[in-house]
Amino acid sequence: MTGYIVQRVLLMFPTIFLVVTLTFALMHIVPGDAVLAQIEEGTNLRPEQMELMRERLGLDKPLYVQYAEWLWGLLKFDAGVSLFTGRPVIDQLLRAIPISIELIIFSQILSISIAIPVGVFSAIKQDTWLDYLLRTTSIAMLAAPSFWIATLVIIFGAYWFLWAPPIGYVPFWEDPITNLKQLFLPSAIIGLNGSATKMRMTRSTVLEVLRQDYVRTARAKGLSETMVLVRHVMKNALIPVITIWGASIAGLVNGSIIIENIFGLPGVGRSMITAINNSDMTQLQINVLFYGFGIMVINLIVDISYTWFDPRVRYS
Amino acid sequence: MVILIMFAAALFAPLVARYDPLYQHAGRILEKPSLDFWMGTDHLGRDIYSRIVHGAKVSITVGFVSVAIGTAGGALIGLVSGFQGGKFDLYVQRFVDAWIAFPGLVLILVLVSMLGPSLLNVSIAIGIGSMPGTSRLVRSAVLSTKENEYIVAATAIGASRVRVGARHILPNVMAPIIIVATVSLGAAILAESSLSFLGLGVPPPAPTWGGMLSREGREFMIIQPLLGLWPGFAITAVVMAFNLFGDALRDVWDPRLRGAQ
Repeated sequence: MTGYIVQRVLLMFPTIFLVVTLTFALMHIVPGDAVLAQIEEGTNLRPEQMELMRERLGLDKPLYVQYAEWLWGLLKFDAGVSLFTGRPVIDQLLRAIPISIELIIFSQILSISIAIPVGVFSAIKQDTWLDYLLRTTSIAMLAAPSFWIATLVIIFGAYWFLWAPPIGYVPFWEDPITNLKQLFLPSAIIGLNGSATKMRMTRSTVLEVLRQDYVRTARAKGLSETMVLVRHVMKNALIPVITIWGASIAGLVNGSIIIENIFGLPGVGRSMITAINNSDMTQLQINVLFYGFGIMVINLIVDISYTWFDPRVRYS
Repeated sequence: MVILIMFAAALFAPLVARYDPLYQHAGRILEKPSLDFWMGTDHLGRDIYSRIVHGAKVSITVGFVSVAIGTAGGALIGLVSGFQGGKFDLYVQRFVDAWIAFPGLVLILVLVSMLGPSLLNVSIAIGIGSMPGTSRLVRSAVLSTKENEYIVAATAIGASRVRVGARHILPNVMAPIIIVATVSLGAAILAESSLSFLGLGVPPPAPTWGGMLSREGREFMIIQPLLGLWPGFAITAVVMAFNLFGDALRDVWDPRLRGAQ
């Protein structure tokens, strides 16, 4: 098993390099530069001033020099300063990361604690009206965009109850209750959206496992139905659910970007949209890189956890 | 059914819509649904029903163009990489690894902000975003197809590799390609509406479903909440229809995957 992990980690290095390169390529996909983009906003600078700005930002150098400088900077943990605020972009990113991570962890806890019980319940009640209701709801949840649900919660909250969601962010260790109040709704919306797939998966694997011989044996030896479900069915049914859980994390990040923007949470997603609106290339670049890295690390953890959850995949 | 309605709405938008979606009916803002305005009017007095119908045109255009780009590109990468195999495949797959590491929306947002928001650029960005996933799927289908004896036979009688790839492998992996394309349509429409919602989609004044839900309209939804209901219903219904259609296609064409829900 250790061998497999080592091999998997080693394989990640070329991918890290490619992710860094791809991020750089994305930023330079269009000819022209950030200075010109800012000029278009309507300020009138003299050509000399433009040259000066380009020089300061290093945009006057050839592309391969910029690329090398970027790589070198990353090694030194320095990704340049924001074109908008003039402060180091890494600082801004580091401030935003905990917020996004907290949001994602909460939404995961909520989504799992909804999806698994509901999925198991739906499977036990197979083909009853409850099962149909739950399945139809889950199909609709898959299709309903999270920004729509968030919008509805906000407008109907205001319309019917004159209630507005708390905007902004207070760190957990400063004021845990306000923090939870602020994060509950955003995480619930992301979590609900993500629970649909997991619920469907749980239902189908539980149904499959329920038909296995060992479940019949467990029942035959007189175990209570709860005992059968918890000890024999759930244990085997949850492996595929963990598989799609891993695969769904990228989709979850998509949701968090939009939700952070609606609820004004100053996470990585919001910082990214702000950077786009300000045409702040350096900030955007480091945020994009963070997302690429984040997903890569999550995939690695998911892959390694398979070997732990499912002895059949244990390589070496 | 929903898909048919959507096509009809998109194709015959000027006929189905009752008014010009941009025309501002003076003095008739934020109205409730009535015989004049089936879904009411927005804060500028524009007919919501007409805007929803015209929004279908935008969604379906972006949906089809982006899926065409994404599927063609993804299928080509998957086919060549899987069929060629060996070192080539290894390198291409590491590249796909890196590509897939960016969450779809991040990739799309960056591309659109670099290219500038327009109908075509939004479609290109969404298409590029869906390529790596499609290529993975096609590659695995190609890997299992190429072990078949008829491929060995075709190679044995001296068919060139390009010919074997195009004439023998491609037709046999067509089913998964079409299935993935159908499901991608739903995802593409969802992505398009998310972009418009964030203000980076097809630029106004073109009516888009996501745009109707975005900041511009949100302030007025407190006065007229129905404003926020219609576009969301439209998105949900259409995406659901494409998802179910994709599921049905999969059941018919690929019995191995049956019951995977």
